[in-house]
Amino acid sequence: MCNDTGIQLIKDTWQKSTGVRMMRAAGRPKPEADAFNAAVPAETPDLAYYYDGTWEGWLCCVYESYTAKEIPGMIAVETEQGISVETSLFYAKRIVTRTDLAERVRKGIDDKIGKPFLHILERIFCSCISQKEEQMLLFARKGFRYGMQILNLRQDKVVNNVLKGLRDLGREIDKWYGFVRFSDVRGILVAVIGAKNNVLPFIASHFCDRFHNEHFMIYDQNHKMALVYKPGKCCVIPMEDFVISEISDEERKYRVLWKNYYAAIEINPRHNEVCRRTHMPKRYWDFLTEMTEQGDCISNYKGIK
Amino acid sequence: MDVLEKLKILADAAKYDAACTSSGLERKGSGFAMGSSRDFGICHSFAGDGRCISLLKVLLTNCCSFDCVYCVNRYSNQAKRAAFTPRELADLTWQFYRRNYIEGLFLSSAVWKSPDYTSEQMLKVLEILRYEYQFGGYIHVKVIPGTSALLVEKLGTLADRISVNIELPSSGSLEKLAPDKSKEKILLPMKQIQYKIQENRQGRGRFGGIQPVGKQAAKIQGAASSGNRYLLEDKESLNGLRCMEMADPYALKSVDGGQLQKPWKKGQMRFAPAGQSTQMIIGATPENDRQILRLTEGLYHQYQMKRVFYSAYIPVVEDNRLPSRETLPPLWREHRLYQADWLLRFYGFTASELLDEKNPQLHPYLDPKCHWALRHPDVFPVEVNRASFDELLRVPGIGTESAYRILRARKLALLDWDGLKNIGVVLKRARYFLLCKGRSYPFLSHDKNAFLLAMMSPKERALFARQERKWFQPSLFDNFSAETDCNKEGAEPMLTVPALDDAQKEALECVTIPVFS
Repeated sequence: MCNDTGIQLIKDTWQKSTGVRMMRAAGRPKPEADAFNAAVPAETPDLAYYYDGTWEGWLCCVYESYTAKEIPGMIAVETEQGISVETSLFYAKRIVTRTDLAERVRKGIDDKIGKPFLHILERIFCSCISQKEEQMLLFARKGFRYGMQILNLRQDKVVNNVLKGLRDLGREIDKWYGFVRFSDVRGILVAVIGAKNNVLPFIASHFCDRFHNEHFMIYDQNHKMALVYKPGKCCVIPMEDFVISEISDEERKYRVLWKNYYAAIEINPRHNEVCRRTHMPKRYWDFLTEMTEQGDCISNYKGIK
Repeated sequence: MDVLEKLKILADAAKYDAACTSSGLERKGSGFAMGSSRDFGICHSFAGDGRCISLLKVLLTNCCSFDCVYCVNRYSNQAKRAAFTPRELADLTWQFYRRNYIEGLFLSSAVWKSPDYTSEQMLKVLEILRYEYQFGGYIHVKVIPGTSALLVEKLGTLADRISVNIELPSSGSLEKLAPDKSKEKILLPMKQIQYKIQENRQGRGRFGGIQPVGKQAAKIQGAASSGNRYLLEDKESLNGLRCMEMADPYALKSVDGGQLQKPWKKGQMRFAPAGQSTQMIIGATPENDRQILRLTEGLYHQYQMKRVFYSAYIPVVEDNRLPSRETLPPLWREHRLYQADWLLRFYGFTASELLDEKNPQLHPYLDPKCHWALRHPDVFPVEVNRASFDELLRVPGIGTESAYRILRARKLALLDWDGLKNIGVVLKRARYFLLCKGRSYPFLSHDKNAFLLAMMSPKERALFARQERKWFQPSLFDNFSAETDCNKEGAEPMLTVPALDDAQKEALECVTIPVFS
């Protein structure tokens, strides 16, 4: 798929742009000087790929990039209204999703680079880094050339970018492990979250393990998705809208208890607003029982026994 | 009194315990009705003081028969008293856990009637949770000094982490401020817990952490082979346990006397799998940082603590044996001690390296690592592409994570300054101590003031400018609007820094700038 001369150019341009010189493995022959002039994937910043926004679709973009020997300047999702971005600026190419090609690329990544690399790509696909698809394509190309060791090459801009995105995703997952707040609605636990990255697939295993005897649902209002679980079965499904409508007395009682606990545990002479916001940014506050005032605040408390 | 009222009083009384961590133990939830434990620890919320809320941290009761001077719960203090029944507390934990408010329970207590009576009540809570509800979440339990060994062992089999507070950094202070507690009463259960953890690990056929070596290993081996539950040879520390006849601590009796189902299989029972920790109060007594750090180091090495927590003393009661009520909590000192603690645990420093008799206090404006580096110019510079892991760890601006990344990255390509930046090294500090491909940082300033500024964080600089401008050269602040910074962050009147003593002033003035051509 990717011949040696092509690789050499990637290597060359990379060296120019980052100043990093790859160390050659001992005993490997030096490439001939005229090899640089042979057919190479063109840096084509005015070319845009449009795909359907699925993981398979992105894999097909990788396939197209290798077969056509080009690196598009933009990869965007084609919406139902048609191509939404500035079509006039780019020479557009629509990528048709074909499962056989996607499977071939997936298998290629798995065989030639390794399973961990594939997992990383899958994770980043759920993250919200800017220019996700382009960055992933460049990252995958580097992966094909240098193998798993590319993950250690943080000097490189693309690798660093992608790994940073991966880290941010991991951090948000960790935050949501803690910040999901369930309410008991007739024996079923329901929670609403609003995540930047698409975290539901990643927090699923943790919650399914922890509450394996419960029925529960976690609704992500930003991605319009819900994680639904009943003992032994778990799935992530699209969901248009969801609001917790009824709150029982029992549920209200524990909310009030929790709010009061939260207020009591603070050491007042050590109050530190900046520190709290650093660890618990304000975008999470809407989903936290102890930080929301409306409805069942402490003043509404009427004799809890 | 209803549960809400009790929760308010008992959470309020428990808040001075610093530890609220739930890390160090990975356990699947499948063996339990509900609950699991993650080794990275999960923070469920952050209180207004910025501290993590991970566990439901309450006292079982604040009715106390001790009279520790520094404590808000001492019997001579006028305060509202309350006590949970074991059932109430277990239910509360269960319901909070179910709603994902908490990661588990942190159970402590004042001394009600006697240490043994209180421990029995605490044990009941744990039994209801573990046996009856089959609760798999994290449980941290505090041992009250003076509790009998059997009860400590029972608590340890049900809890994940168990801790005994050392309270004050010296036995003299302890005698003065906590007349009912003594060094022996505190250290004895610590030693017992440590041996029990080791024995339990060996019994399960694997060592999760540090393997005991030499004399210690022989002792444990001997104890295990002779069937002794405790290491009876150790006369000094385990004097009280010598002749004690041990009942089977694993015999399960419920609170009502009925037989209960064990949540784990035989042989899988773990004793305090997340280890033990301790806590001491800083600033209530005159010990210096050197003594505290040496004590900490001893606790890590001899008692195999997972963590030692420091708690800045907050004056809650008036007493002539204590600092006055107006004294601000020494938060800055606490922060420095934690920094030094990290250096002990993760960076391979020893207490004697960080502080010696000439410098008994940690520097208020330079973090302990920077301060060490300034006193050891002979070690630097180090070449990034060749230095060993240990050498890299000692460079200010390089942490454990970036040191690992450097090791991995330089296998693939030579590192340069831009690459270091991408890796996450704090070049502002590290550039003075590193060489890249044999060269020092381009256009590195030889100015002493610039160098000192680079060593300080913005907060440290602001404090420095506010407090020490009388004796330091004003040129330091020409390009630096410390005053405005202070005003902007005016919300921190709490942060008081001890004035520099002569040794520290001298250290700042004689700084040798490690600039290398």
